[in-house]
Amino acid sequence: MLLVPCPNCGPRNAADLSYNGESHARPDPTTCTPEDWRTYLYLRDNPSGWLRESWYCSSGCRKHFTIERHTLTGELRTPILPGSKPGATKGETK
Amino acid sequence: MQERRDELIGGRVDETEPESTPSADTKLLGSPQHATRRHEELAGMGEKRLTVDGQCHSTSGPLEQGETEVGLELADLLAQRRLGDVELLGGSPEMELVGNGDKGIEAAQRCQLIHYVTLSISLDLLLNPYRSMRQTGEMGKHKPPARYSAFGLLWKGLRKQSWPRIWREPEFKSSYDVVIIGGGVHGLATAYYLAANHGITDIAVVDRAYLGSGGSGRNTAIVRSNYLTPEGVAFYDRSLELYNSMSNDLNLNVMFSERGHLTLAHTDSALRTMHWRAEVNKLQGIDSSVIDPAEIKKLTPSLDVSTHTRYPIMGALYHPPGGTIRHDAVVWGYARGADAYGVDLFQQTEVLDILTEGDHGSGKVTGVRTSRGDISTPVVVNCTAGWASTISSMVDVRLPITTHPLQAAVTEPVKTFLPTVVVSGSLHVYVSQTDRGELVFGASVDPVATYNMGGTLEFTEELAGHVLELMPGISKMRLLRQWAGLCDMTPDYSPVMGPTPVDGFYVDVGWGTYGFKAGPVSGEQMAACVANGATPDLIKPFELSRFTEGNLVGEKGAAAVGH
Repeated sequence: MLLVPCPNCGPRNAADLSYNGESHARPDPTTCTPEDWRTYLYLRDNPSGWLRESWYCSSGCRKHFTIERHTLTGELRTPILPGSKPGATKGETK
Repeated sequence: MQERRDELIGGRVDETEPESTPSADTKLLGSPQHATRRHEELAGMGEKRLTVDGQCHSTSGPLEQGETEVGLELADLLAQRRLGDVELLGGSPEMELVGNGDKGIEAAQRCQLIHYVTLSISLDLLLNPYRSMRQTGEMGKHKPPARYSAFGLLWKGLRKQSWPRIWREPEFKSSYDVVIIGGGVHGLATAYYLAANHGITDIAVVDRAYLGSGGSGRNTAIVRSNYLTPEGVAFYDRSLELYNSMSNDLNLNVMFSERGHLTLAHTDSALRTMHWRAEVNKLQGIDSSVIDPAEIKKLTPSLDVSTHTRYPIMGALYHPPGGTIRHDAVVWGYARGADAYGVDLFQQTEVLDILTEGDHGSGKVTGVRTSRGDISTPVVVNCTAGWASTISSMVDVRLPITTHPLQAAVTEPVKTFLPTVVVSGSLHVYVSQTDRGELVFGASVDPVATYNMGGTLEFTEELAGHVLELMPGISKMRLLRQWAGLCDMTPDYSPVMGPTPVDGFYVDVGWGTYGFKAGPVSGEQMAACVANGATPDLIKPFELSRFTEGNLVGEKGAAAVGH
């Protein structure tokens, strides 16, 4: 079982949250080319190691946040709510 | 009928598999019904398989295939005795054949052997060694693998000779024409077809672990071609064609059991999709039709088709050519075939880097750095499935892939009662029974991307609940074990095949949950792609560039159970 530390709700079973996958900066839809947009939509780094990804606390505080997860060991660290800085949130495990 | 054997398999035994249970999965073995029957089945000799209702079903394809398996059957019998029911063939390279020194059993083996040989030998089989001797020439172009035959078995059995390994331990060279990363079905099939169809034999296949250690040995061994898009149907139908003739082509019984494939529909919309798929299939000449619950009950009596369940079965897409194959045999068959053409197979050789010249992400491949040293090569093929992104990142090619584990499980063996492969999309489960009697379950991929192959209790609970909704009668069966394999999922559930922006770097990835059933055809097409330098029509729709061009091939409805 994966325990995901939500910045608001603390550690929660991953089944309580929705997994949104890798977190990437979205290009500006008004200025980017279709190719850039599709690259943003489809292409992924998918590393075997640390990865910053987006989660949605769907059965808790209903907030989106990002967190770093090691895709091989399952360790989690530095959850961040949008607009805040790392370290300023509670529920951090590592 | 031209396929005969004059040599038997020198087995290796994977010490992690000390029982007669399947490897990470489903080695399709004998029937549990009767001990003697089981030996027939082990060998794949019996083209007839007795099912619980007393009917006979074809389990090894064409009739002649059954005859050609005589040699292998004997090999298997011998091996079974030698190894005390331990599975033979393939496995980790460092292991030696176990049990060679068991003199007590050897005498019994010889009696058994002579008995079987006198029963099953034919003039054609006896003549075969001479035929294969004529074929034996210089190592290199278009040399077929050594044949197995009853004569060879008799000769070796009487002389107490041990069997040669089925592929060499080649010397590591510093230069190859083609380097294929990943020694699973896709990598080995690509190597085999490059050698067999295109005469390119200076190939190295490198694998971090042992051959077939990834998805090839972890899948649930189901094959079918009833896909949703015309591109998908054409592709998988060709694969099924190759699987049909594989035992003859590779001279190794892959135990293809064409038992029929049922995709259940539990809702009106699912039923509509089944009709859609059936019509697409019929248009392309695929045997596929929608059947009602009464017919489902007739085909598979153990299914609960009543209307009082939470997800009542409203119909099913019935695909008679679908079935199961012994996946390890497919890997070994291709490995042996490729090896005979002179392809070098390196196990426990990890790729550390891919050497390029020119700009990052658009240069040219010059070589591969492995844990055993550098190889200079102009062509690298990435066939690493779940690890595809880690290899591609070495040349800065980003893929539309996320790696999710897919878990599967197997029960203890019981009497044969499930004559078809049953798939339920709504319940996220598929189940088939091996020839030995175990039920093999698969499910949808885990929701969170990870490279970790550990099993979870959530999976087991969910799976058990769903299976019991389909078949309440098996509630007392015990689960033997569960395992996971890594799936390289793409956004449109179609693979990524062909060239990349980096010259000489090819990918055959994105196979997600359906890579095994496509192994032969993707090997054949990738070989053509590499050899001719042009993407064949069959895999054109699956090029990497479709993502930036926006031409996705949506197969989610037919390729996955989790949606």
